[in-house]
Amino acid sequence: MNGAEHILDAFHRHSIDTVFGYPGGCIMPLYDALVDDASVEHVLCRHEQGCALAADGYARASGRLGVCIATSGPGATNLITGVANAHRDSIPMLVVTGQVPAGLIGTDAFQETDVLGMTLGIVKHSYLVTDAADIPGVMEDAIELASSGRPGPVWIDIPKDVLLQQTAVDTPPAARKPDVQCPDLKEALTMLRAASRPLLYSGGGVSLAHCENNFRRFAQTTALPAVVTLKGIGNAGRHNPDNLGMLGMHGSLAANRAVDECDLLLVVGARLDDRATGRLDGFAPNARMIHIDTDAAEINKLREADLSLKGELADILDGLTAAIEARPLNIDPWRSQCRQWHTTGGFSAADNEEPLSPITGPAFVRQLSRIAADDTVIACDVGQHQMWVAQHYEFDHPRHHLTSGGLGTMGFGLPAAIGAQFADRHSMVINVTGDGSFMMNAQELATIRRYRLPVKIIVMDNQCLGMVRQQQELFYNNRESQINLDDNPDFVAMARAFDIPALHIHRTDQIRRGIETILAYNGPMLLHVAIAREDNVWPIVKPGASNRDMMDESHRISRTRKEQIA
Amino acid sequence: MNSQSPQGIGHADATTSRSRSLNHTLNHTLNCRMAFEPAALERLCQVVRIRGFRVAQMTVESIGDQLDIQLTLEGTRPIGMLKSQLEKLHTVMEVALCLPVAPDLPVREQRWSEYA
Repeated sequence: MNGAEHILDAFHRHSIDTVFGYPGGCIMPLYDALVDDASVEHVLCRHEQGCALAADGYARASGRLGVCIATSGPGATNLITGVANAHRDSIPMLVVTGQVPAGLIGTDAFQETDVLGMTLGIVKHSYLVTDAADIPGVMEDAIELASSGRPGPVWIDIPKDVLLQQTAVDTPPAARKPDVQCPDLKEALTMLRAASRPLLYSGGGVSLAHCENNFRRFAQTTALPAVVTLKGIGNAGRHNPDNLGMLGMHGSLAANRAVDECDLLLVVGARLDDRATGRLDGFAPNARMIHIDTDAAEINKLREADLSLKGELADILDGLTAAIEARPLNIDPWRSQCRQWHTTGGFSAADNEEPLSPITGPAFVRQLSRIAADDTVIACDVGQHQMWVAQHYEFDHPRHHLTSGGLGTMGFGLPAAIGAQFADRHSMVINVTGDGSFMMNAQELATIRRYRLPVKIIVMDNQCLGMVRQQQELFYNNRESQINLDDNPDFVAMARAFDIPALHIHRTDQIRRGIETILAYNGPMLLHVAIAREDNVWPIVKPGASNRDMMDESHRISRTRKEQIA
Repeated sequence: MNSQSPQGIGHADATTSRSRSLNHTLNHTLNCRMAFEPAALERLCQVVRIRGFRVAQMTVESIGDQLDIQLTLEGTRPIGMLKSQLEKLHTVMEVALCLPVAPDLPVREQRWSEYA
């Protein structure tokens, strides 16, 4: 076998049956090997960034490894945003790129870039393979490394001549998984029992550790009031009465207040990101903190934990659940208080009763949440619509909410939806996007068309970069700068050019019929939703301020003067 | 710095908060052993830089397929945080911290036995 065939051999050993890629000069030996391989489906996206983000969406929705492939030079550089996105959100990903032949590295050869050097800060690890005999072992290590512990992208860069090099090597032994002992839970239980106002704070680490069910049992058994980060949405379940929703910059008043008043914060698989905590010295000021994480480097990184438990989240949560089951916590007054806050300070968006009135983002998302089935996957982009989804869509599982958390990558949603649809060809996948984000990877409409994917696309179009406009309004004295998109293309016509049917709605009385029409359609469909330019995401905490200092609509000073396109 | 026991339990100790409360630039000496792979040193230095430290001195010795590196670093952030990040690197086998040196601090601030 040659080096390229050894890569496919590793895919077979690890049941990797779907990869996202784009061919080019130095990766051609791998594409040649793919011709004879029926067990690996190669999805041709229309831009390498689309490949990486689709692999990311595939991994988020399925819990499996996402794989993307590209050539050297521009192929590799185009992957970078998608790989950085996966790195920031700890998504298991394997990246394979071709490199110029080994003898040409460092000679400024055609389509040569120093991939290893350029990507050091956005990978969990990376390899430059210089001997085909090393490929089987590197593939084993890379696949194990990408998926284990705190997952992340692993990048393998292989010169073209190494991909072509014939080598006979035995199948390497599977990489050894380290044994992780469950820590002693006595002290954590003592702290939990001593607290009168304990609060459960969970993040994306729950689904990354595949312990969604363990977490759900723990949350239900303890009945702890719970807040979630953006990536933790869905952890507690749609029907958990103690779930206060998302905390932080665009979190609910109830969630932020509970954090402010709790006396014990139990952090599970979360990294205390600044968007969640606000100014750190004002965050949970009266609380002791137990931090449970699989990554030791997250412990005490931003706030010191009074007790840290490092290990497999499932084991730790199961141990705590068993102990609390045997002797329940007595926190009823605190639970009642939190529920009351949730009633009065949860996310509120009145359904607009006026049928001819313009559509608002929150009202639309609420209707979507009511109409779509519980197992619908929503792939968001980045901006106001992303926050409206986080606030108003009721998710029942974290893998149903695909969102670019750490990096905040505009253009994530459409390719991520494609990846999610490949993860389960029969699931309902909806890309909720904005007019700014949609245009960043709109070329992937061609991928949807090619593979006849039934992805639904909802473009919430306010003809501007809404989140930037909002912050310019609130924090830059209403001075709009480079946010005007009122010369957007006709999105309905654009979808139809890709042979994707499309609808346009702009009035409140059209919401239900619009949503029901696209969900019922047997194939891809785009719904263009015109929304008001001036709508803001409320509440909001000014970047760098404390979560106590939440701003609501009453802080609106005046309407902005609309920026004109030059 | 959080002291993690082999069982994965850690308690807050005084070192981190003390480190954070000081805004002095400290010198730290750190010994690191890592696999001799392409871009090994760049990988190490990238983490040092992005986590807020400056390399004041660096000596490297290659022994077979390993690199032994001694770094003298300057920075105001807790060195324990950098140590945790370096230990996450796949090719790093061992990281050891030596006692910090801070010429502008009183002697009592330099005796941080928890560092080792």
